[in-house]
Amino acid sequence: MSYKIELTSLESLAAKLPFSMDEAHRVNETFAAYMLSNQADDKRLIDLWTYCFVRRYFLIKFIRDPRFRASELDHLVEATYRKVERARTSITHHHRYAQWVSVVCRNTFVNFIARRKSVTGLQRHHDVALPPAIEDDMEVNAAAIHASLLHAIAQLPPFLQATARMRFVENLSNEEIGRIIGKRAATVRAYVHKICKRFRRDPGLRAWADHLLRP
Amino acid sequence: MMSWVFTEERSSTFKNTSTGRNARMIHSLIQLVLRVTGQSRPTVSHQDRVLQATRFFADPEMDDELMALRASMRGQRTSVPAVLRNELDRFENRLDRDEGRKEHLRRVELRMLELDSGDAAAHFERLSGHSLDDFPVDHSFDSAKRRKRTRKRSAPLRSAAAREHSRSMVTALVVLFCVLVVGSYQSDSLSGVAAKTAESESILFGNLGETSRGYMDPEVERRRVEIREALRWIDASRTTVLGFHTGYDPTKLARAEELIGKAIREWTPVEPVPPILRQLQADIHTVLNPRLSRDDTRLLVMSPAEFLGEIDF
Repeated sequence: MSYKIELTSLESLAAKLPFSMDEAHRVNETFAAYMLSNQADDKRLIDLWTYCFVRRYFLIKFIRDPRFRASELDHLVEATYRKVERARTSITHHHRYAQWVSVVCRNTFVNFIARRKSVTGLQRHHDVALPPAIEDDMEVNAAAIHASLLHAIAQLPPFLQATARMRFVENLSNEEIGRIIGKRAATVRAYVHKICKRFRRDPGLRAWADHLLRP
Repeated sequence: MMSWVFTEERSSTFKNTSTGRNARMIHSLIQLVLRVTGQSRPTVSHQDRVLQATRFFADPEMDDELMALRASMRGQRTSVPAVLRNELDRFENRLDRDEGRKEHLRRVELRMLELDSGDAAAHFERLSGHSLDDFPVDHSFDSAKRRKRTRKRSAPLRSAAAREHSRSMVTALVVLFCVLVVGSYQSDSLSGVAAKTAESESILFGNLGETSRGYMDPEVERRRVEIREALRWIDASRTTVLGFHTGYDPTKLARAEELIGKAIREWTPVEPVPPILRQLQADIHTVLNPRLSRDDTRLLVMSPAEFLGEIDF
């Protein structure tokens, strides 16, 4: 029997959004619309999503280390939110807002860790392990990236969708897929090739690709 | 030749040939050109990395790394996009079978509660200047509406009177549609007559066969004419409103009933009356006498033999 603790603070705030925090394409659409038309309700949604995302980002990062305090969380959230608010009107790729906010959070967290090390002298204590930075913030963005994949699969022609799900979600081999759908492995390879070509053009996946592959 | 220069699998024989040496040289030159010009092309490995990242959320081996993310999503399950709920359900199933992981999740959730103990709503309102009361409860705001609004942002607003008129028209159309649909549903019981008309004609006249010598009995021919006329009266009695509400003119339908009743009465005793004719008679009688149930009507139109169960009706 699974159990669950209700998280009331962030949860009740995020419930005000008409989309999930992990629906990056909807966040990006909303931001692009806000930059185009400057509508008040778009700004409200963007501000709320930004706050919720930033707060969740640092919550997840802080969980790993018991020495981080709730007061530090609020300071970090506030500093990052202000930074995003000041700088976002100058970003050029409006349809990558969600990924950009994630980068701002990451840079802020890295600076926070570095500053904390110099203030507390933790570097001198070899038995203290600072939270390892998981590559590409997967522990924060995995759901959003996965949602972008599923969204990209939904845009594929119907005859490719099943193959895409089996290959890129279930991680089945071409031979296994061929047995399930009744095609030869060579045909499945051709399907996968078509799928990859389309994925390279998918705006959601490209936004994450640029985020993951930045220098 | 160039395409397989970049493959990983190369035989040792090839490596040591002059062709292999030339290929390696060309490969090095290309890499140098790319470095000098600062170009980079999206390679298969880049896409592989991205596609690998897309799988993390669905990978059971990442459960521990993603525990905090999953914990936050469990708390906001109603707003989790449908596409991700499947993976959350799978995670829950794995959790049910793993006490160690359940304990890990519990520790994560307790830690999250401890960190998130402040008032995030008040914090947000102070930082953003927004009031949470300004956020609509109805989340019908979607991207299609947003795109439509940004396209039409320069269009003049309609007057309040025009908007009210439009609302009235829409209301009237909705009411009309409901009346037609409900009326159509209520007249479903009449459809049996309509459905049987075409069927009746083919079955009845198939039953009224010719003699073995191809000679058409005048009596049979007369019966055919009567039944055909009855069916024409049924067709003529049918009325519809915009194709929805099918009704029947009782006067014309009564004429059809009279003709079918006459045909049945004059059926020769040695021939059984075709059941379809009896059913047609019963249906017409039901339409003309809506207070009678279908069973009552059947009893009224049955012959004594049919009533006694000697002949199937």
